[in-house]
Amino acid sequence: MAGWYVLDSTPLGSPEITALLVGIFWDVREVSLVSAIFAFACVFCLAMASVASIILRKQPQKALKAGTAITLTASLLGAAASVWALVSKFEDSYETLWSTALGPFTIGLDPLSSFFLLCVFLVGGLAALYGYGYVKNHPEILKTVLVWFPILLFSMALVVVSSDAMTFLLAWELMTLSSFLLVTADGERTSKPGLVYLLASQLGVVALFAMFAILATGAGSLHFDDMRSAGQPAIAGVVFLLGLLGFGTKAGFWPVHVWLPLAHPAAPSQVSAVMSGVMIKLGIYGLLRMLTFLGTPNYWWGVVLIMIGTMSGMGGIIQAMAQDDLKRILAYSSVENLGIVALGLGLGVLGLSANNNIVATLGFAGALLHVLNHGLYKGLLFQSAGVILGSVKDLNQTGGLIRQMPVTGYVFLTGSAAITGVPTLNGFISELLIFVGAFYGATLLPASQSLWAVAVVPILATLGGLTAVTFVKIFGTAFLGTPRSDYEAKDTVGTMKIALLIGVTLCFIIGIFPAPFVVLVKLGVTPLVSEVQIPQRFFDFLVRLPFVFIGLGAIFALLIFIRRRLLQNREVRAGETWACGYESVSPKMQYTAASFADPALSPAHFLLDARRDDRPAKGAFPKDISYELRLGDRVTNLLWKPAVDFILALSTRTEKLKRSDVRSYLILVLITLVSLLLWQAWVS
Amino acid sequence: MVEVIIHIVLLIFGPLTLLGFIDRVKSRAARRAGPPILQRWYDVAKLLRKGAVYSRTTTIFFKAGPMVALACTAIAALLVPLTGDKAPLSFSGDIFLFSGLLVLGRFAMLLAAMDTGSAFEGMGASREAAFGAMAEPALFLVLLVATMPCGDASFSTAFSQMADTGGLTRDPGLLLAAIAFGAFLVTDLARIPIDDPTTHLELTMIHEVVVLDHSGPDLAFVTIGYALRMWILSAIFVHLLIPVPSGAPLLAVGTMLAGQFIVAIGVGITESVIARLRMTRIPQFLIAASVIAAIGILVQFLGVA
Repeated sequence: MAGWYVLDSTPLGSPEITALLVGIFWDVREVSLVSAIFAFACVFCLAMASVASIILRKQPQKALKAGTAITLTASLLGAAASVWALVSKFEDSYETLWSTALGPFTIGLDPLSSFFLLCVFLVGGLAALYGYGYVKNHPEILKTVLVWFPILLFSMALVVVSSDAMTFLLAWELMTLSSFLLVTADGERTSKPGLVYLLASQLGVVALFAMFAILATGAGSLHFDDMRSAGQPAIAGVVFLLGLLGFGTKAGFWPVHVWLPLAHPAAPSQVSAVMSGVMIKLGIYGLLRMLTFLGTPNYWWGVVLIMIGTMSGMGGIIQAMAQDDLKRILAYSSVENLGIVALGLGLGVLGLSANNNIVATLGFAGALLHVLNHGLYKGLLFQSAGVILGSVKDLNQTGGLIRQMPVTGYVFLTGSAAITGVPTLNGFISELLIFVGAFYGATLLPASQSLWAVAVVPILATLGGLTAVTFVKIFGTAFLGTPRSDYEAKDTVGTMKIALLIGVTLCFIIGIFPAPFVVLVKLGVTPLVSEVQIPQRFFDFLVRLPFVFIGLGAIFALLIFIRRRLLQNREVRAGETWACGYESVSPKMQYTAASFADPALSPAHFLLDARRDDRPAKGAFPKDISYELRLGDRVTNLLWKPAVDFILALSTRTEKLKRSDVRSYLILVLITLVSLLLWQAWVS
Repeated sequence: MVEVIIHIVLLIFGPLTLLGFIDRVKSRAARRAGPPILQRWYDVAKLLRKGAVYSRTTTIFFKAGPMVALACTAIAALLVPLTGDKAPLSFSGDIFLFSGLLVLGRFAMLLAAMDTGSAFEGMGASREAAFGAMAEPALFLVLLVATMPCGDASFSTAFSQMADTGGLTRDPGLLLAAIAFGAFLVTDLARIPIDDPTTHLELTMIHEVVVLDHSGPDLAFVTIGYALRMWILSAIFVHLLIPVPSGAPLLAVGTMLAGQFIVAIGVGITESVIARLRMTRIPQFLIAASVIAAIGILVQFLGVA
């Protein structure tokens, strides 16, 4: 595929190919160039998977096999290539043959984009593997997924490797469009969520256009390198806010998260996994990329990011606790996790503005690692949710699923534990980085800024506690206890199972052996921080962490042994769960998901538009006893519902205009063209 | 090396005795003779020799819960210095590992409770999860107050520096931190005014109802884990208030033990004179604790500036 592109500075010659063959023995610089070229090639291979599906459209099963095989190979090799490019700190960009009036399309890699490319390939590849099995069971979405899923992966990778505003925005729009088509794959039910998503994305893009326009005017070019070398633009604060709005909409920051809880439940599971796992993170990538153009940031940007992070985190997790639709919970929890990422970014910006490399490195590194971690465990959660929803739709009807689908159960448990941030899993490591970053922020930054860093600590801690409530609620209701209704549940099999197990392994590896991954993200932040620096004594802690976990495991094993020995010669009986001596216990009496979340939720009822309709028992022979609590989303209702309704109504009106008559429609087009020309003439 | 051995000996023999001591204080306050101080030891010994009953609803989660929780607490207990300046394990950032281990232990116990499919245990788990989450910011703010002056997020460094600088005598923020930590302690250990460990009505329980179905060795593990948590949390509480001298292990151990038993007397007397809070008041109590700890941080900042 690389043949399509003439790489202007260094054409692919025989030394590089040899270098690829001899791998690590060759000069690092040249191997890194080859790995970068290889990564580009893998990016374009992803698009090939879609082409292959179109060619094979008459035989969907073959198309599925070919598409998955190509995507998987490209992802696997691409992930390896991007790790290599990251490790060798590859940093360069190339013009392609194609160009527009605004300049040639350019692609390039630097450590930051290499890191995000790794995330795209890793999460995307696992989702493709899972999707193979998922799509087989859902023939109605087969065609859409076959064509657009590889395009979504391709466009995400392209966003990351593009090094000028034009390519970036085109890739960005392609990403939005392909994900929109995937969200709406499943017919009528999904069209409204899809439209809201498209609308929100397009509103966000407007801000991005404005942002890049300001940056490009300052730099005199659309190329990212020129934007960086142009130094801080005059109205950097405005650029920052525009970028925050545009990229924040994609990232799902509260209060512009509105599309997220609608789109995720509508999309097929592996698409939700990719959208939540990687696509929304590209909003974070955009923010970081923008920060590289803005020179030394102002400290209030960090404060804004910390506030946004707090709002997203609390708003997201409170909504997640309130929901009882599995995928909506996961979507809201993504809002929360992106809030955690924003907290890390905020710390990083505070560190940069105070010229403190330790705080900046730890903040950004924590944010980046959380991006990767959330991609992995949210992938697990969405994909195992897909397996559950294949058998039973309503969370309140489930129970005891762990007996019927043990693999899915343990996968979901791993995801839940990781997202809660318990030690031995990857979520703990990225939160640890942010915690320690906040600690150093509190002790090393000037007093006026350090209080903001202090604030990050209790917020992050509360988020962890509330996440535990949310995920114990889901896991406890769905997998533990006894079934609340009759249904047949089938466990995951085939490629879906393999994909899930790989994801679980990765979560544990990062959680138990964090040091190499922290080195990776440390490399990833080099474009942002002039001198990356992680305190040696903290790094020593990370290096020793595996031994602590071995100790933990050893004590656990010892306890298992003791317990087994003690019970060996004793009577072990099976009985019924204690119910105060009450004999005829029914599964309906188990604590429900809604009741479980209530104690933690009740202080937040004002945010949730809580409406009660209680009919308590009255008189000696009470009839009609019912308690009802409805929870909504006050922000969505106040802020977004009117706006969305207005725009949808407006578009219905214009629809009429369009349908009325070809002649009047043509006249409308003509008037628009003429007025645009006149405006252009007047301007110049 | 000697200090590590003393530390482990203290962890083995201290916790259950401390619990028995609290029971004794409570019975004395009520003018009863009360059980022997070693009663908890007898209880645990009896439980370990018993068989067990498992509900047919439960799976492996029910059995794993107490063991995971105990293992986590055991590792966490190695992070808190008991013999003066250094704990057996100390890292730069161990305060976050400490809280993470407590969360993992709680997570395992909550799943064990949900595993029974009992309405009571669901109720208890739901309360424990909610109040645990609300207590979390108080814990972290206290840990910040304790560790920020030394610039290293580690118990050992922080407490040995407190010993050098005079701790509370120089840093009034620590007093506020200790108050907030007291609130965290009673929440995490489910003592009055959050929860009554001696209550017999399932509907009003928090911690007790989470372990309602456990029996035999499992219940013994729960009890040991609980006692161990009490031991280390009271040790941190003592450290916040008294600058434990470093360099003299015997004196340090003496101070710590005296402090911890005074904390136990405090807990016992509190439980004898006040009633528990209404359940709906608990969030306010915990938010107040966080606010107090936050003021502690402000005091520290003003003191530094």
